Formats: sequence, structure tokens, C-alpha cells
Amino acid sequence: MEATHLARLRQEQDKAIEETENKIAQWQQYQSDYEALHRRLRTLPDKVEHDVMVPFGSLAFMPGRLVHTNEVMVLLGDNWFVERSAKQAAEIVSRRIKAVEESLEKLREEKRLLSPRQVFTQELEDMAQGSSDMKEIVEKYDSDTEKEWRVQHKKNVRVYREKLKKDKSTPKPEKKDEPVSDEALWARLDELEKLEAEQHEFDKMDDDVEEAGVTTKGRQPSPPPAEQQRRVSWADEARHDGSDTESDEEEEEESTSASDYDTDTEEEMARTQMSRITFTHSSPQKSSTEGTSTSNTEDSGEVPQIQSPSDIYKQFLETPQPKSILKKKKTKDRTMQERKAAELEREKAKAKAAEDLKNAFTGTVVENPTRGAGTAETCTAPPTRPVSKFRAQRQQRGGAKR
Amino acid sequence: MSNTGANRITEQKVLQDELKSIRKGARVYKQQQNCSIFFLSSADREMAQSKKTMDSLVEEYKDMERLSGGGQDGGR
Repeated sequence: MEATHLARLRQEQDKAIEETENKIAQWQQYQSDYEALHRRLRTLPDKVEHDVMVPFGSLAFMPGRLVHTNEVMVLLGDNWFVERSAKQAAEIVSRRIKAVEESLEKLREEKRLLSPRQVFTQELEDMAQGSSDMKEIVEKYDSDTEKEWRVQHKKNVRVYREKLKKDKSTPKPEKKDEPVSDEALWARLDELEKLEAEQHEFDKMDDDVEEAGVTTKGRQPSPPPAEQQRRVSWADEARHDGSDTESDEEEEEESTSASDYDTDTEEEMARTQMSRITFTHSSPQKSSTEGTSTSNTEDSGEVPQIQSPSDIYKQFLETPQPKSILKKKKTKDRTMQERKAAELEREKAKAKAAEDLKNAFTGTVVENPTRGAGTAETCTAPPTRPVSKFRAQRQQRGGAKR
Repeated sequence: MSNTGANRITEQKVLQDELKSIRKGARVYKQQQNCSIFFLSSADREMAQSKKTMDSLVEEYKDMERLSGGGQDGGR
């Protein structure tokens, strides 16, 4: 830093400290005045009259007496006065003394904060002169050179990024270590595939066990049979193989031949297909036909067009029209006929619903034969609606009159 | 600074001398601080007050001298 700058800084700091000291002195004067007043107010009520010298203008005085010594008019501020006793006035004064002391404390704190700045400035002056042990590190700044550097830096960064891209895109030259790492990779892939296949086996085993009614306590990993070897296959790969392309299951599907598990072809497939995964979904019709024969396929002719959940209800649950809440003028014959017709309709609807319910689920349904038979029976037999006694009597009368 | 430590001590000395030199029956008034009103007092009372003030000022001055003098000694 230059000496003129430091001198200017020092000047400002000294000025600030001087102002603070002046303020401190002023407030200290206020404090001593208030303290003197407080002493006087405490002694004022001791006598009924006090002999005083009354000021007569600014230069003359007259001897006089101070009467009503206990009546004091206190200035509150903004030309507002209040008449107080001497003791009360003394209390007011003590509160003001407290406020003055707080202000003084703040000013002293301010002075304490300003003083170290002078010391720091003095150190800077010593550094500039070279008389201190500390040295100032100066870095010259030129806006033109800074701009040039920035432009060059951008170029360098661009070149570096291009170089990185090139290195990523260009294949690495084959080294002697290359085959080893590839083999390790493929071996690892094989392991993972085997693990997946085993997991699938376990899941299938659980399903089979539930069918037979046997619970398995512990699972033990067993190698997949040689006939049914599984592998991970993608949709594109399935097209290449010529197998069914559409599958709404997950990626796994069974491969029946052991030749599909050939490592060379698998490697080629994996290499070509590893980068992209596509999924296709089969229509519900195909997936239902691919399922096992135990599924209910009574409605083979009809193909329900289901696009949304509401379609399911429309297709499989045909509910009768809701009844009108308005009262109808009924004759007994009409009521009988209507009731019969309604009952017939209800029976038909229920029968149809029961049949449709069986077809609503397109997957394989394996039921307990005894339980299934029972439910089928209950579905086919619609429950009779209980008729009240009075209605029955009316019906009988109506039948008799005919 | 008009009211430095040394000046205030000098003021008290002058006051004490003046109080000693007045006649016996003379009335002494003390000005209320920051006011133009004077309250009647006595020479003895004011002399006692002045001595008290003097002692406190002298003590304060000695403390200041000690601090400033100690700093200078440390510098040497």
C-alpha cells in the first residue's frame, strides 16, 4: 500500500476515535449533572425553605428563598411537564442516570473496537517502510493481461475436453491383458445369469408347493435341470431367435434347448444387445392362450375388448337397470307380473354374472376341487328373496280371485 | 482539554485557599451543577467537600501517571 493511502486511513481512524471520545465526555457530564441533581433532590425536603441566590438576568443575583420544596415540575420531553414530589423526582433522575450509563457503555465499546484498527494501520505502515518482519505480498493486476489469460484458458479447457471425448470414443488398443479381463467379465455374467435362473426356480417351486398343499420350510438352491435352461433374453433377441416376440411378463422366458445356452452365440447376442433394452407387451388374448389349460376358457368365442377398468364391469358384470324411486300406480295383477318379471331378470343376471366371473380372470386358476365345486353350486343357485306375510296373503288372494 | 486532571486539582487548591481567606461571617453559596441557582451553604462544609474532591482527583491522577509511566518504562 502506498504511504499516502495509509496516512489517509490513519487520519480517518483518528477522527472516528476523537468523535467517540467527545461523545463519551459529553455523556459523562450528563451523568455527573444528574448525580448532583439527585443529591440535591434528596436534601430538598429536609427544610421548608432554602436560602438561595436567585439569578436576575444573566449577570446579577438577588437573595431569595425557595419555598414549596416538595413540589417539583419535571420535564418529560417535548415541552411536557409533570408535577412530582421531590422523592418521585429523585426516582425519575435515577432512571435517567441508568440510561446514561448504558449509553456510556456502548460508547466505550465502540472505542474499544476502533482502537485495534489504529494498530493494524500502524503495522501496515511498518510493512510499507520495511521495518517489520512481515512482508506484503503484492499481485499486480492488469485488466488487459487478465482478459488475455481468460481467453487462453477457455481455449485450453476446450482442447482438454475434446481430448477427453476422443479418448472415450476411440477403442482402446488390445493389450495382452485384454482377453483375461474379458473372460472374467463373461464368467461374471454367467454367474449372474445362473443366480437369476435359480431365483426363478425357487419362485416356481413355491408356486408348485402351494398347489400340492405342501409347505416347504427351507429352500435349498438346486441347479436348474439340463432340459430347462433359462437365460435372460430381450425382446430383440427373441426376434432373432424366432420365438414368440410378445410377452407381457418380465425379461425371463424358458428356453427348451440346450443349444441356446451356447456361450459363443450368447456372447454375440449380449454384445449386440447389451446397449439397448426394449419391451413389448402382448395382447391379453395371446397371454391367456399361452397360459396353462387349467384356466377357464368357456367363453372361447367371445373376445372382450377391454381398454379400461370400466370395460371390465361392462363386459362381465351386467347389472340390471336401477329401479325408479317414484311411486307407481299398481294393480295387484300388475304387481304380481312385475314382481315375477323382476325376479326372473334378477335370476338371469346373477346366472350370467356368475358365468362371466369365471371368465374374468385370464390367468391360470387352480382351486381346491371341493371348495370350487361348492362355490359353483352356490353361484348357480340364486338366492330366493324373502316375501313378507302380507304380500304373500295378497298374492294368494289375487290368485284366488282369478 | 480544559478539565484535565492537573487543572482540576489546581481548581480545588484555589478554592481551598479562597475559603480560608474569607471573613468569618461571610455566606457561601454553592451553584447547582448546570444551573444558575445558588444554594446557601457554609465555608466549613464546602472546605470538607473540596478536600474530599481533591483526594479523589489526586488518586486518579496518580493512577494515570502510574499507567502512563509504566508503559514508557516497558518501552524502554
